[in-house]
Amino acid sequence: MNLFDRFRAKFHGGIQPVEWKETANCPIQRLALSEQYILPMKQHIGQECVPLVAVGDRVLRGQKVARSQAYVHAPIHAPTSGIVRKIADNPIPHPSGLGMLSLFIEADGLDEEKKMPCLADYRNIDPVLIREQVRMAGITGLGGAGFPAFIKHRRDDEFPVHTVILNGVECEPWLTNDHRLMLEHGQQIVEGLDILMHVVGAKKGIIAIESNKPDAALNIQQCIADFSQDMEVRILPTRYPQGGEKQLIQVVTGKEVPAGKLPLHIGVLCQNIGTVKSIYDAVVLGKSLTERVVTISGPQTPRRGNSLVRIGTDLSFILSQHGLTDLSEVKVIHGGPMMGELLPNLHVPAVKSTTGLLAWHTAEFEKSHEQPDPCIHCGHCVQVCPVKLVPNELASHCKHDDTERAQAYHLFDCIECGCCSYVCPSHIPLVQHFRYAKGMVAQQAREQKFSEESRQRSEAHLQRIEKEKEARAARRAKVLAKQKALEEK
Amino acid sequence: MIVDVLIAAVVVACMALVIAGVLAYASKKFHVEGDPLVESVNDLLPQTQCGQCSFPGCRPYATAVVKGEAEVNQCVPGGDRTMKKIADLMGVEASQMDAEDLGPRLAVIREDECIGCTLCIKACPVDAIVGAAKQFHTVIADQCTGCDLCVEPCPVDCIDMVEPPKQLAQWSWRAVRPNKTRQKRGGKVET
Amino acid sequence: MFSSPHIHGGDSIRKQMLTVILALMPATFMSVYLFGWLACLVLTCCILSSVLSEYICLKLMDRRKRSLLDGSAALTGLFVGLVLPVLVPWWMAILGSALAIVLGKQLYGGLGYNPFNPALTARIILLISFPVYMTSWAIPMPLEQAAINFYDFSACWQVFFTGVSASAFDAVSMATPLGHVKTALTQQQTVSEALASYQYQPWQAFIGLEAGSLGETSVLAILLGAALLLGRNLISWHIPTAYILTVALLATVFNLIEPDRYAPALFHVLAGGLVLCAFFMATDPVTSPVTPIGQLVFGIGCGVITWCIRTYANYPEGAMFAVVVMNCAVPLIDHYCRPRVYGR
Repeated sequence: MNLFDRFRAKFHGGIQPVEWKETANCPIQRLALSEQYILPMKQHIGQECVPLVAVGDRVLRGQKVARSQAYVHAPIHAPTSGIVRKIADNPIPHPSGLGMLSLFIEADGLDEEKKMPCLADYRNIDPVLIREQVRMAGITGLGGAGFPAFIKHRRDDEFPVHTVILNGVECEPWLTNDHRLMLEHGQQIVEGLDILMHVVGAKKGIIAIESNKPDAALNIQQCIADFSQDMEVRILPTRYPQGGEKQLIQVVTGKEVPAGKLPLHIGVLCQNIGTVKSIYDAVVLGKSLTERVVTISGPQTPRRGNSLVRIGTDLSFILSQHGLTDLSEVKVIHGGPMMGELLPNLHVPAVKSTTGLLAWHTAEFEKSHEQPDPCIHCGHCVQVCPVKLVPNELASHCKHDDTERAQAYHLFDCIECGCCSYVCPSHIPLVQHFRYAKGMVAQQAREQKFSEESRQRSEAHLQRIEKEKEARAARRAKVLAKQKALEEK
Repeated sequence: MIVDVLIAAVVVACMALVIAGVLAYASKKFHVEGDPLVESVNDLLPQTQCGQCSFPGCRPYATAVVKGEAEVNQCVPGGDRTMKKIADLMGVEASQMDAEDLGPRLAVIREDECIGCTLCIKACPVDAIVGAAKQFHTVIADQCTGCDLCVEPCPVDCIDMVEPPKQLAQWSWRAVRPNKTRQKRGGKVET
Repeated sequence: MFSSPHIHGGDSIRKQMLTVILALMPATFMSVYLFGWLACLVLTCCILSSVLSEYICLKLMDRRKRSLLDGSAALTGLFVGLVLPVLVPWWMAILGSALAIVLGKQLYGGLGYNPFNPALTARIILLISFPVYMTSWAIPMPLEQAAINFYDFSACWQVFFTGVSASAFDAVSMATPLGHVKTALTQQQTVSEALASYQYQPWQAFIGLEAGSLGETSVLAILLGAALLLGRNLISWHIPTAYILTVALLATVFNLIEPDRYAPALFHVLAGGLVLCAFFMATDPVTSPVTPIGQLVFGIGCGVITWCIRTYANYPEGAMFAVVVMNCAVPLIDHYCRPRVYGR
């Protein structure tokens, strides 16, 4: 980054990890169909879905197989045609290795598809209908977080959205799926942006791309040139974590999203490139979200590349298709190296938020997780924190279980981007400290709620016993009185 | 000379009066009904109402602790963490737990062995067991405090205390362990 | 279970310590140029004894020996050596290093836990305990009046181990500019008279051709090292800038009000250990604030205290006291100078 760029990067801190974007030149390739697909019932932020099909049912690709009654959820669709064989608990790609209720679909190889109605003439269609189509298609943010996309597409008279920002930053090292999408599907992405602008009524569309992807920027620029006047490509200096929603909004608009508020409240809608591509597919082609682009890379992967993967494909199958069959001395990260998670088990399905699979040799991997030394207060973590926390102090509070002070130091404003751990000369796993403390706070809240409920139940129990006792006493008194009366007679 | 002494005495007396007035007002204004300490201790307890502390419930134990009639280390379900919190609040030294901390527990009824006697339903302090006479009973897992009180009354011993199943929603990252291989004297490796 | 991130920037404590040692090299070479073999002897003795003290402490306290290899003990030893006058006897060099490591660092829990700068702590203890040794400044070799031939190894060896008798100090030593001005002012001279009688030349002070502690005389050499630290992002500009500017500002204002009593800014900045303290001592990561605003506050505090001690107190130099006093306030400063969190 040159000096000029340095002044233009307007979010605080950040780092410049080595990029390793060697899959940037590998065209997206469709992965072969697998024999079995496993669909966990929750692949989004929000309520867990319940299956709509039973064991033995035949389902088609794109058919909705699970949904929830709650507002915040994304329905789940069958990734190919086949028979539902099992509905049972199965591990998901999560660092805990724990699982949840999942649908097991045995593919029949026909790959028959069931589509939604196409809304190709979207400009003349009510935005509410388009938003409903996006909701029905089960689209979540494909950048990694997995927030149901339709929720952001609300038209709110109080907070009108004036700018839609497409996040083509892809600041995580190694990952190149958005980069390839922008190169190969520029036209669809630009049209997707047009759909979003129509849905929320925005006047302006900005596609933000980091300076390390000049070819993608050029391609999008050409696509825009003969499409719309209201869009522009914004080339940003390369810096991690610029792809974080709040950081990107800060860089592009110069405004901060106030704490506890949404981008909507400052009139901005921010959406990932992959998400926009699937919104285009859903609205114009009527396709539900059943596949996504995944970057398969890492030093231990023989054939690195970008694959179009059906949701629910077994990760070990994906890796074997890329030449990685011996998984004994391999550590695989789900997502990018900065925010992705180490998988304890590779026999788990790809989900909507699977951005990448990066394989390391175990010894190589453990080198980057050295034993921590004491903090020497060098302050590098303070310099790089994009939300301007004081990570070293915060971590020390977390370490000593002082959740109250940790929250006073804004523990919950931490976005877990990992910059602090990355620069720490003492190799202190600061992010893990924060996650532990966040978990503690959540657990304390759960315990408090549980003990409060238990207390109420116990009081109700005691009251009931008291009442029963009184009733018994009253009955006895009555009987006694009757007996007395009889005797007196 | 005597005037100086008088002035000093008068000044001190006036100050005393003013301060007394303020204190009297404050004691009226900020008066708290009942003993707030019992309330705070009770809030720290897990409300299992299990009686393992030898008191008939959480509040009686809290009252006893505040009165100094009970140690702070008698709440078994609360474990180490609760004991430390109570010790902090009461300003006493935290000691060893009386009983081993087994972590959270959950009662499970082996339904095919249950004879439907309703004894456990009566024993449950939080009404977490449902069922009717001659029908088998079930523990509502979300409401069970793991207090153990239902195990004793069961005439056929069909209630097990188990570790509750791990749930994804309740999973959290564990604390960073201190250096794994810390060389201790004598070459012992402490983990 | 490893938490993300799964890659690391490659920085380490060892790298940082080695860089700081490298940054101290210009000042070290300057001290060797000024005081020849004696400087070598003092510095070597300090480094060896502080590494040895560290080893003994770690052994006794059952801590990991790993921190021996990270260079922090050697760095502390070098620091101690650079803030000592060259005429210290061998036992004081050893005592100073041991004090820095044991009292300044290990008793608080080792690297990262000490509230005070170890080297300065040791120097202050020595200054209070052995004022004569700690305030006798040898005439540097490049100056013509030098009484000891520092470039003669056997002479230096003898001075180092048998010492200079207290009565002989007058013959081999001279005053530092700060000391000279302080004495002159108490004798009712004006500042300009004092400077004239010392034949004070700012460029000489800048290059370092004057009496003083081993590493503090040459502002030029210190700035060279500081450039490396700034370039490698091991220190930020906040503390040194705030520190030096505060001293300069106070000196200028009072010099304008009463030029006869208060020395000018240039004199203050170039004299004594100010620049060394500003770039190497006050910026010691362990004992300085981490937040930018906190660093500015810390620097300003150091500046005010330094100037006040130099001007009003009995000691001619106050930089080390200032840094150690401000060290006490670091946790407080860090707590109240946290930056505004994003979106709040």
